Amino acid sequence: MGYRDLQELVGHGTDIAEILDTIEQIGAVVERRDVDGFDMEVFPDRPDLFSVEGIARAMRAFMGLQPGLMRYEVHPPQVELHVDPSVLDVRPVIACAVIRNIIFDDASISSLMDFQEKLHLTVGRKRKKVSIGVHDMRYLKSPYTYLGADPKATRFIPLQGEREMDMDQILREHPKGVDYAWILEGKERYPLIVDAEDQVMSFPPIINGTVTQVRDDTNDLFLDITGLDEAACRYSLCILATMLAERGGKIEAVKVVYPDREVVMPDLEPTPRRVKLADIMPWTGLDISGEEAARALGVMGFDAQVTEDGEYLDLLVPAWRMDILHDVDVAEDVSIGFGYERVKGVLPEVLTLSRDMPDEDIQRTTHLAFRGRGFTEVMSFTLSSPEEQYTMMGLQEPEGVTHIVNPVTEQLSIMRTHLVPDLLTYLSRNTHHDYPQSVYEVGQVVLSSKNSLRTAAVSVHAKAGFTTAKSLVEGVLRDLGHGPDIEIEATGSASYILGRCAKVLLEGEDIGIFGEVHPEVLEAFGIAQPTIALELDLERLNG
Amino acid sequence: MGPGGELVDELDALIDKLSAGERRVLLALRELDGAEVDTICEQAEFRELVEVMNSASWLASKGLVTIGERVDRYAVPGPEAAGVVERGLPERRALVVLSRTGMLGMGDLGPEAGMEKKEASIALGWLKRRGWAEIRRTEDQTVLEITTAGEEMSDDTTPDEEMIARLVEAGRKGVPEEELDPEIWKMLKERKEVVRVREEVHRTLTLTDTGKEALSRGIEMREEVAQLTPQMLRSGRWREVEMRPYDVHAYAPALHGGRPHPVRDTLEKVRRVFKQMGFTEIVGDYVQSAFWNMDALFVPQDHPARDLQDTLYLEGGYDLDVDPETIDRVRRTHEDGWETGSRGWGGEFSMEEIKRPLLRTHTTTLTIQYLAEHPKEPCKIFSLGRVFRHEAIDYSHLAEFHQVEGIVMEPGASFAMLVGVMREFYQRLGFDDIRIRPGYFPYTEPSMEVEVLLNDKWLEMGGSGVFRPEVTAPFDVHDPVLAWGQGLERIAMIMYGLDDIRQLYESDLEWLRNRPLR
Repeated sequence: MGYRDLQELVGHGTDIAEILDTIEQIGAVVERRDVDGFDMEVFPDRPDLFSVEGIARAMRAFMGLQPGLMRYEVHPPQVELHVDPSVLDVRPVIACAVIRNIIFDDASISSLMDFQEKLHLTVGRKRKKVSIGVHDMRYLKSPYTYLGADPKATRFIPLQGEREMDMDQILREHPKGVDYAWILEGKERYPLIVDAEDQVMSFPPIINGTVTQVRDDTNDLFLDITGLDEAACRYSLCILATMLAERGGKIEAVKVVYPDREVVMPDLEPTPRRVKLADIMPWTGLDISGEEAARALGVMGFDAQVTEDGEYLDLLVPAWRMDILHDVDVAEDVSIGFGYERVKGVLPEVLTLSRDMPDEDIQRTTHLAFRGRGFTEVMSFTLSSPEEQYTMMGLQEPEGVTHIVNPVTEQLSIMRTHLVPDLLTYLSRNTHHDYPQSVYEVGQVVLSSKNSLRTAAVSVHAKAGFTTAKSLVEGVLRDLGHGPDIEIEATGSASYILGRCAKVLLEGEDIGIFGEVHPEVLEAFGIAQPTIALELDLERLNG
Repeated sequence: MGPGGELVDELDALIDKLSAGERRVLLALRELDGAEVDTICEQAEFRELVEVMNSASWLASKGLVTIGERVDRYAVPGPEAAGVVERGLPERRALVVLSRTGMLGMGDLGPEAGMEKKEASIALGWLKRRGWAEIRRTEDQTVLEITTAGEEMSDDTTPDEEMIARLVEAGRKGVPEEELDPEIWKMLKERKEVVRVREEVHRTLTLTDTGKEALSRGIEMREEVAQLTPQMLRSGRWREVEMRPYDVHAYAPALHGGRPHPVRDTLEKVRRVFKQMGFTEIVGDYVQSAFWNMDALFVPQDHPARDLQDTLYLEGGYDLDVDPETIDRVRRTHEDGWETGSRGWGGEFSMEEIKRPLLRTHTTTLTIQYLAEHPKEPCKIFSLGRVFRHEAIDYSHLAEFHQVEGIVMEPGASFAMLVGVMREFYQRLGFDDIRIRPGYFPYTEPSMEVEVLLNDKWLEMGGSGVFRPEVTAPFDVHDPVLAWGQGLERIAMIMYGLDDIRQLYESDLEWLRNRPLR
């Protein structure tokens, strides 16, 4: 957004530094600034701030230049649009308006395009829920018709297209068709807007026809908003129409004729809302009067008044504010209008006593046991791959492994069921450093969708052997308060050298394994030194 | 002490117990008795002077050697000596002026002789002391007048001036004090900037009679070994061998201690802060349903965060164990607001969508389940769990990271209380300056972003807000719930000065082993 453009829209004599400072206070983030302009991020619940025109309107109220509800005149309709029943099960909602006497310049054209893009992405859910069409209406003849058209029988030249195509062809070949064909998947008829002479104005939500292309000298615009959600389309129209009015356009209504009713739109009438001060003020915790709250709402662009009994606020909510779902949304606007930075913080009043987690103690002891033996803690991702967890370890994938439907990469496609492979992977990336290398991890694995706390350690050096591993396991278990209740029993595992591997039993229950890692596994991980490993189930050790 | 025979035996025993170093020094003294330690060190090919001195002090304590100390003093030129030779002493320069004018006003000496005030007063002192000039009071001023001695001396040089010249010529080594005329040297020594005294300490080793006797009985050199062994200590053979000295600058391999991971340290720090503030930790499974991760938090079913591009979904179904009435309240809240006073999101709520299994995208899923189980008890809870996102890993993004989350629920909770808790929390983490501005999250209202001041820049830390009634009311929670959250790794990056988040998990072993523990 350009500084000059915004400054002119807010009003002459305003200071740009003050404007930028103010933008952050109403809830947008200035992300990048340079000499001429800036980029900003607006929250998705406020599409009315997606454009420089919308920002300027909010700014005028917030800076006290023009507080309260902004009103726009809507002129009587001269154009009609008929909604044909054939479109109702395809893309049922349409909202439209006419804007006269608009004079475009570079700033206003690029603002319109930016707004369209942002709205399509957010409120529009990539055009599925809401899409916008803007048309030069100089060659059009009213009444227009919104209908469900036969894809094969309807041919026209789409914008940015060179020749006449049918609608299926457009979906297959036109860049916009390719991008958005998914929205119309499985539909027998496609949405279409034509004028009284069957000139194709738009194939929503895909592409417009060439006849209505907007040019530098366009003066009169027809706006169509189509979609699936009536409220979302209605709000989008209000936002778009008033944004163009901010540029000096004259809003003119359109009469939309349904088979069973007629509607004149856009409806810019504010929505009355009555909120109880005793509901919203405790929510904010602000110690201010009803009048002050009303003033705060004024700078947020509402008309607000305390009722005579002093118990309520009577509001007029602007037609373009689609984020007011609940009284708490009003409470937020009171807080923003009052100024977040002015809010005096208070501390909780109810005494609560902190308690440890059930496994906090065993976790702490495990860390001490390994650190005392010179092991460095490693933290790795729970996300892993079958390759690392099983193939490289010489194991078969067990039952109950959590698989991700849409992994970002194959390396992060399952939830690990063992920690040792992660430690071996870690050490395989550090073979250029001094040996001995001794690392451990305390972390979660996921088995049958449930977390389970484990610990594992790996030690790599020229003299690492089964006895080293046994000393380590017994030492750590002793530190954890176990001894006589533990049995060590020979076992076999493809990950370990045969005859140099044992399992750990706690009162007869299998709680871990240790031994000398098999050379096959070491080769797979690229580790060229004898390696011992152990893995213990801390959950069971914790009882 | 018994007869002579025993004395002889004692000396033999003493010789027997001499260390290799002591033996070398004794043997060297056979030729160099009374020599300086430097000479001994050089001639007997010791590595360092301290080796000689260590052995010498053991030998002295055993009565075989005496350590003598001699201090030689040299007169050396001071920092101003060269200047004096070139321009003359201050009083000499004053005398030149006086011999021309005969008399001077006291205040005129400095300007006339081109001297600073301090130098002029030194000149005046010495003129008087040498009797080259007198101070006299006339009617209107105090004047300085040259004496006869002064006039005589104006063409001559004094012995101390000659001595300065001699010292300058001798340079840094100087002239032995005893070679100088004691009286003139004594006077000159007062001029600390012109001359200095340099001391040279010489230590000598001289054999005592016992030492000479020991040598005459014969002292043998012994073999050199690299490692002291338990056997040597047990047998006493260590006395017969010499330990090979080490070059103290030689490379020694690193010794790595066991230590926590930096993320662990960060987790512990944050956990400590929460506990100080009376919060209790909650934990739960990584695998969750869309219901608890999204729907229960009033995230609309068509919200972009629920796309495959944002959330990691899992194969299979999810056995959602929630009573149908609760699910129905949530459904209606989404559709039309139910009894929450809200308009709802509109549209139709899918009962299939809620059963999709996923990896939790935030720990708020644990929070809402905790609240659903404890709807009435005021609480302060926190979690420090891992969360998962459909994110390609780069310098600022991870697919799996830790979320810090704090929750306060109590009857009088409010947005202002949240502000107070935020200030307290971040101050305890070490950020003294925080500021807040509006924010947006689908499940909180009001919402805010917290920023902290770090190196003069405002840095975004976490999001926070008051849970919307659409979130809490379906679970029969009616007190306001304050919530905040942020990535733990962001705090870790600040604590460890990292600019690439991957360093925390794809970390270099040397970094982990060598980072300072504080």
